[in-house]
Amino acid sequence: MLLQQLTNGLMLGSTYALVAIGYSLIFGVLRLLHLAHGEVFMVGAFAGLIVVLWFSLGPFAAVFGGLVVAGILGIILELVAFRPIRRRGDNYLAPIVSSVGAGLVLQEVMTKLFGAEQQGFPRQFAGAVYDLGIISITSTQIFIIVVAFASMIALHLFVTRSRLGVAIRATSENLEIASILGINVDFVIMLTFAIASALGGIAGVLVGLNFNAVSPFMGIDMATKGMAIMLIGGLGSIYGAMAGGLLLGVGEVLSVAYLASSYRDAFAFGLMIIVLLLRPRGLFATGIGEAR
Amino acid sequence: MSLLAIDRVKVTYGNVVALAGVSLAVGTGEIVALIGANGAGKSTLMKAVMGQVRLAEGSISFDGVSLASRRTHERASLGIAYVPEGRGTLRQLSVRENLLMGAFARRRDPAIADDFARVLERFPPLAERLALPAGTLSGGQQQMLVMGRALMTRPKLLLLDEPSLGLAPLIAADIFQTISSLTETGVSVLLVEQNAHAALKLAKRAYVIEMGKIALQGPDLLHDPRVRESYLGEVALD
Repeated sequence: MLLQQLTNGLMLGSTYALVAIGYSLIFGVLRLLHLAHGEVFMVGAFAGLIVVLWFSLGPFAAVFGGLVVAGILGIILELVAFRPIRRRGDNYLAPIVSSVGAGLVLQEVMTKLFGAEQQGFPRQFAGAVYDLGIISITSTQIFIIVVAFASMIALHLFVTRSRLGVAIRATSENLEIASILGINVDFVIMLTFAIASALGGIAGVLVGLNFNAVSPFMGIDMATKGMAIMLIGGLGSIYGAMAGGLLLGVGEVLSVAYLASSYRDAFAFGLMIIVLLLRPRGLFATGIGEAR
Repeated sequence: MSLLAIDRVKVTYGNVVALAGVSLAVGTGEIVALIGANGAGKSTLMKAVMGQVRLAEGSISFDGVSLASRRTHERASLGIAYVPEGRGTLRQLSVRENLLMGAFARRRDPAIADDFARVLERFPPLAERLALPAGTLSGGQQQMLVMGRALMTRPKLLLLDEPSLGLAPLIAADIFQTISSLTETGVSVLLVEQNAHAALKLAKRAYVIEMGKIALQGPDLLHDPRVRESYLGEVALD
């Protein structure tokens, strides 16, 4: 029973982690919250759904569709909602307002296009159930866990092994030093948005598959949780977001199983408050967030 | 023709004039020192060369090219390496990653590996600590790291802002030794230093900046009575 809950929690948590990593990556390079990120997640979910419903392709194609569409959307949002304000000098409020606005526009456009109701994936996507004795798991659940963890491993390899990935970490630690070293920080910021959004899009498809529900408003809850996880993990820390996401997913599932399902969201924010009381900079403090 | 030509540069922060028409030149393979009191405008001048502050007037050219429309990372790619005051290591990146980021603009230049080996040869303590986060190094080692990182860019010009600040005298002497050996490889250096004595001994020419203006310049400021009195803490006896 406990093992079963842990498996469910890891699955849920891995999708949370993918969303939270996006907040962390963008907070890292810009020191700003990207408040339309939940909507990027939602658009990614729709992209995956369309790939399946219109082109009758499988779950891998759906994930790929979510990744590409969300990645491109992320670049567009950076160019439209963040860069023009950055060019005019320091202003912490303006990008927050402009990203909230961009998020609302995305919600309304998707409502116009696809309606406000939830939509689901076709029946065959529910997948087979494997009974492993101590736990039972569906093929969809296996798919979600595999894709989510593979994405995180790919991100880890990118930011530690590749020249551009290390440049993202350099920019995130100190934008001025990065530019002194010849790094085009505007390009790095755009690349960061693309990667953060692509991961958000993947998460959108996975969450859509998991709950078999996609709607224009699915990003709202996810956005609050993603930001809470970023705080739990430590501002701007990729690995903090991974750990925080898994922790929250497991914690949430356990709280539903052993307490009551209505405490689910209260648990998430209760956990955030406890972590921040004990470790104000989060689990993986980066030093980001102090003045630089 | 000089490698770096700064021509009547004026920089203001609000109503405060930081640089009031400064002209300065650095030739190829030359070490030039810039000395002056705190707040005289030394660091601002370096930031102006890197494009981190806006020029109100004047112009800067490098290698015959005007820098006016070039952004900071483009100036770095042209061959200007800047080591800011307070070192500027990327503390969370490993020593190896810091050094490789120095060669970022060179993309996949095969000579990067040779330069990497040469930097480790020049600064042996770095070779033993390649995998450690740069934040764990001592002050002297961090200064070695930023100098090594600057060399990884294969610069034509090195801008050094207070390289000996906060270092023990022996380690500072080591750093100055390294700077003087750099010119053998054809690198030019513009050196800002609080330690005027060491800087003037090292440099062929020097400028003294006061209140945002060049007050003195010449090849032999070490023996100039005004410099000795104001910056070397000596009373001119003769």
